Amino acid sequence: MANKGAKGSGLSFRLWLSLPGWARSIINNKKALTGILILAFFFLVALLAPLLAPTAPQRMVGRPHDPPSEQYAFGTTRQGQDVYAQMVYGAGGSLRVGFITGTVIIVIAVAIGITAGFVGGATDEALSLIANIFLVVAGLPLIIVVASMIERPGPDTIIIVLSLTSWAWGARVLRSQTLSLRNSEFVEAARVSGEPTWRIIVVEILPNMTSLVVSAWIGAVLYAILAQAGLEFIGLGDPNSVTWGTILYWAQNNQALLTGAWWTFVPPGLAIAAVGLSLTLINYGIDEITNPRLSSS
Amino acid sequence: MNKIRFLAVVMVVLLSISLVGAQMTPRGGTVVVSDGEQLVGKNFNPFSPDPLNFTDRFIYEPMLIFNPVDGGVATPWLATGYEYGEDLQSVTFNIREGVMWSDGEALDAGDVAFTFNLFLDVPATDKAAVSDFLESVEVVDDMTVNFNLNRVYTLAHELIGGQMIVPEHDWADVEDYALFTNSEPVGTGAMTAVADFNEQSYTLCRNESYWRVDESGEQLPYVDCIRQVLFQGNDPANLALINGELDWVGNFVPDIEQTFVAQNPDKHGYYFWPGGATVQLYSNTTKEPFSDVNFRRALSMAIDYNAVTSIGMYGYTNPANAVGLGPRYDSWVSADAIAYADGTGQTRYNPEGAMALLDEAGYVDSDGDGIRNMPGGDNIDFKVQVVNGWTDWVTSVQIMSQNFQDVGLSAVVETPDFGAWFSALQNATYDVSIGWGTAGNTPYNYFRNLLLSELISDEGVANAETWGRWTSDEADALLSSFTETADMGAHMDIVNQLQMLYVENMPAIPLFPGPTWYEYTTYRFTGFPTEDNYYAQGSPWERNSAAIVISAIHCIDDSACGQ
Amino acid sequence: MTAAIGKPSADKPTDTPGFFAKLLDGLYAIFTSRFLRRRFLFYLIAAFAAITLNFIIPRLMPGDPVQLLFARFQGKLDPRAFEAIKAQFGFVDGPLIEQYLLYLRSIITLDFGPSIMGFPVPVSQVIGGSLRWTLILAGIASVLSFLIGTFLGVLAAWRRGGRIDNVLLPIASVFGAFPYFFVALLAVYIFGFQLDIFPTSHAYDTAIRQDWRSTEFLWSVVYHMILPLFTIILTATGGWMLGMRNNMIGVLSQDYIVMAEAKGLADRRIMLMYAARNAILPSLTAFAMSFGFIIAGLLLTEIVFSYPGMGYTFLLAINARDYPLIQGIYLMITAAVLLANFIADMSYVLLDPRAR
Repeated sequence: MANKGAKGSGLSFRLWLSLPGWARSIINNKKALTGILILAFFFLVALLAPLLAPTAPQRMVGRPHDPPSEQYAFGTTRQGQDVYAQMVYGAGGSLRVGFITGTVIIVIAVAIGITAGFVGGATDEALSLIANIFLVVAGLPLIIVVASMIERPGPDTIIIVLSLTSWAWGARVLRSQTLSLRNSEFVEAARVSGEPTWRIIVVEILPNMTSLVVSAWIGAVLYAILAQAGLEFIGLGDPNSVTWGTILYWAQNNQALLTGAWWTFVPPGLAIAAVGLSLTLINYGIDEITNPRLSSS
Repeated sequence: MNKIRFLAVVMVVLLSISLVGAQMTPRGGTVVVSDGEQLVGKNFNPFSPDPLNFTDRFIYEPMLIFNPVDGGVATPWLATGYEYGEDLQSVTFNIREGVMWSDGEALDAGDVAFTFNLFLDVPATDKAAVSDFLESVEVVDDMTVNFNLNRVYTLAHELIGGQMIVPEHDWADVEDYALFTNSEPVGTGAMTAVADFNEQSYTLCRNESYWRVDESGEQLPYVDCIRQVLFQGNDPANLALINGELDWVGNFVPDIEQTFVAQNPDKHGYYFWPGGATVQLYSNTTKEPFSDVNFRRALSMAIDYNAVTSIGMYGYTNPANAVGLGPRYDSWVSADAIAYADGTGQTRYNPEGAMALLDEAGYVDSDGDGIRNMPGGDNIDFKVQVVNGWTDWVTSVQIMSQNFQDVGLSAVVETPDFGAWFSALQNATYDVSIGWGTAGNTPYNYFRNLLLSELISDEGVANAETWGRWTSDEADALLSSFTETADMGAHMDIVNQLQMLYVENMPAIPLFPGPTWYEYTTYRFTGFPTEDNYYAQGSPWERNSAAIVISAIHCIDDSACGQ
Repeated sequence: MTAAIGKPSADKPTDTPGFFAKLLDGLYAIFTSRFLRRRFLFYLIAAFAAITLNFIIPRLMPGDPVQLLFARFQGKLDPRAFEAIKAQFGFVDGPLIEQYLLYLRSIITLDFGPSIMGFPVPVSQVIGGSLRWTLILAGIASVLSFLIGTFLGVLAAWRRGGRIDNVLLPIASVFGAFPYFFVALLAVYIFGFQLDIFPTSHAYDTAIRQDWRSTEFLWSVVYHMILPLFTIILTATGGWMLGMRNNMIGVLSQDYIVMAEAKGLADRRIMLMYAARNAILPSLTAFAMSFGFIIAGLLLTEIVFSYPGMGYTFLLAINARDYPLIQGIYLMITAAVLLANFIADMSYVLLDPRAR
């Protein structure tokens, strides 16, 4: 995200100066910074998984349901797999689906929301109607039906299904924001000076809704991560893939709580919650930065 | 004085009454069952595809019961016996005297004839395809029915004897038998009165005119009612079981000694009798390299059977023998076939042997990438399928695919949903898949469903378990000759030959006999089958024994009997 | 999720006449408002869209339904008997348009024919009593978590930096970040199983007869509902709370609130009658829109608590490709969601004079 900063020299002060204003305010915001640090940690784990976990996550290496020990820090699953390795590799599986899905959702939402809001008229009516219908025709049942249509479910299936069914909320929010921006003076001015529509949208409108788009994006990522876990938990995922959701699925199917093997159940749940919390914190932060009144201090 | 004497007399009388009472089996109580039943539509029509589970266990009864633990021997039930005609083209059943329908009418030959004519007239009711061999039914006298067959078919008594008998007087006026849901059933079974029915449970109560009595002439069953409780999946059912809320259960429970028995060893019992159908690994023999028996043999030798049964199946069963016949068919197992398999070592975990066999058959790693190649040069990679959500099998398949990788084959686990999986098996669009087998009264059904070429339709759909598509004229001939003789020796001989065919050609790889899930708690009731006294298969979902068990159990104290 | 939609109202709520007069006024306004007429049109179109989707989607599922039907009856049914039964399922064959018309007729008559899994039991009977439990639990859970969350959000905004704002809100947000089923399973395991305080399954004790006039039965229903409700509220409240808090803060800075404060109106009156009343409007829209997801989320509740709702039946029906049953349940869900939206719309009109 802060790639401009990453290009700066090693000196922290110059780095700080080279950061754009929004990045500085995020770092200044305690909540946002905490969120970003937690998230960065999990991203790092996901990227370095092969280094952090020498054993393949699906390899049956130990005895079934070994409690945490020196050899297996997080114990083993019922199948004798190393829970630690699964958690480490699972980070990638869960974050990938969450972030790709969140991004696709937001791209669709931006495209539809802004088009509807800016173009107005019959286009708006039609697009709003579609968005409202998607909101009303009961999201998850639709997801379940669509997910089960795909014969061999996997992480990519979940990305596609969640993206297709979950963009409407964001589109609605962005549409109303576009509506209020459309009549603002600077957009009027651009229109009068004869700028093409796409340019007005990209140059005048989008930059003015950045914070809204980002917070909607983060909301979509959070939703996608939780929804993925839910779908995998009810068995609509690929049980051979390694994600936190499938670890939970297996833990539940092997009745980890009943057999006392909490170590297969608690870590993935906490990890999902930690990522969820980090996203919530970042969203808090963004809200507070763009609207300082919201800050509780 | 008189008063005291009077009191003493009264006390003696009371005491003797209570002594007599103690000798009588306590009666009453509601047995709470969970056998995994899920969807409830109120449907007690035994001839519909999937009626409520209690329908053919406790409401309706067949003429013969084949208790799975009895090795295929029939227990006379609504019939007292049967006899084939000289030419084996007919079979006569003698109906039991004194059997009453729950509405008080007596069972007679008319009801039996009515039932079988229904199968002949309304194909939708003929679930077991009785009309395949049955020509006609005739009432000989009030208590005798003769069945005329269209050919010699010596399994007729099993199929005829196993059908639920329905009352003519109640059923004759039904408009559409296929759509009939029979919400107020009239049956001969032990529990026929529908006392309660809702979205989370249903309860049947005793048939006041039930025909069975115990040794001392007491009417059975001892219990008053039986309630099926429905759960949304296995886990909440297991929680309820462990909490002691259920009396009789047929569920898979993980690590059962620790999670269930250890909670209260005196009251919690189970026995997973390995009497179920043998689970097999099927491979698509219409595809290379699975068409090569040596390749199939090598696959089999690569499998760590003990890991499959101990980890995948929680140690609840053991590896199958080389012919895939479980302990239920011990007397049928052919020593020759076993000796043959011992010679090749084909169903024993032996990765080195598997690799040697693969090398010998020409499947070597010719390009040095760690994966063996076909003689033509392609890498050998294939998918091993298992139904998504059947986690014990998924784990078993994960173990096996790891085993296959260890001998240089690129095997990947694939978990399609049930529909996609089943259609891949039927249409031969799969590579390798785990699948069920068939259990029957004799090994005949097992081999028939695996090998009979007739079961593969003209359109190429593999029915029953012919998924491997390995068929032969020899097997077809053996299978049809089995149904043409009633001679036990001939049957043994035919089954021996089928076993030889099986071990020589490996149409499927036998993995393990299916454990039959069964748990019970004795807080309220006693008399359940135990491992030491396994008088019937305990699983409440096994219709051939549930009717026996329900009349064997009784409540243990006033509080249980009063429920 | 957290964004406040639209600008807060600039109207000053006029002083209140009698409560009943006001309510009547409101009801009259509801049924004459252009807003609601437009919404009605939308409901019609949405219902039609849902109905059509409901028809198309199951037919896009892979696997030959006939083969699947047979697979369902694996080992229980001979192929020939199956053929005979198949004849009863009119929907399997025939051109699509004909099937669609038949389907439309089945909706109008509410007769979906026999279910496949439960053949020959009609779909309406399979859904039967389970619809009731889904609606009861979804209704109570969603309204409670919305009300609790909104009320706490108002308090958090009013006493900014206070304990509710600084302690309760973060805690609620943390629970909102957990996967729902994770919290629910832990609750079942700890409170139901280990501590044995609450039942682990069902909507009422299965040994009790279902009788809505019996206090024993009703008490059992309440007792069985505590844990599912608790877990839903625990995970769902944070979102509403934060949204309402931020809306409130936006509204509190408006001129008319400052005016009201200057006029010396009582704090509580300003908070509830002026600020909260306007701040709740965006939340209310969001609430109506979220109802579909709440019913859907209930599927997980039903699985974890073995609650006899229709979510689980829906999952079974999908796995069995039971078209008639899928369609029946889906239609019920859509109808419930549309109804909830309609109620939310009416409250909106009641609360926001501009919508009249």
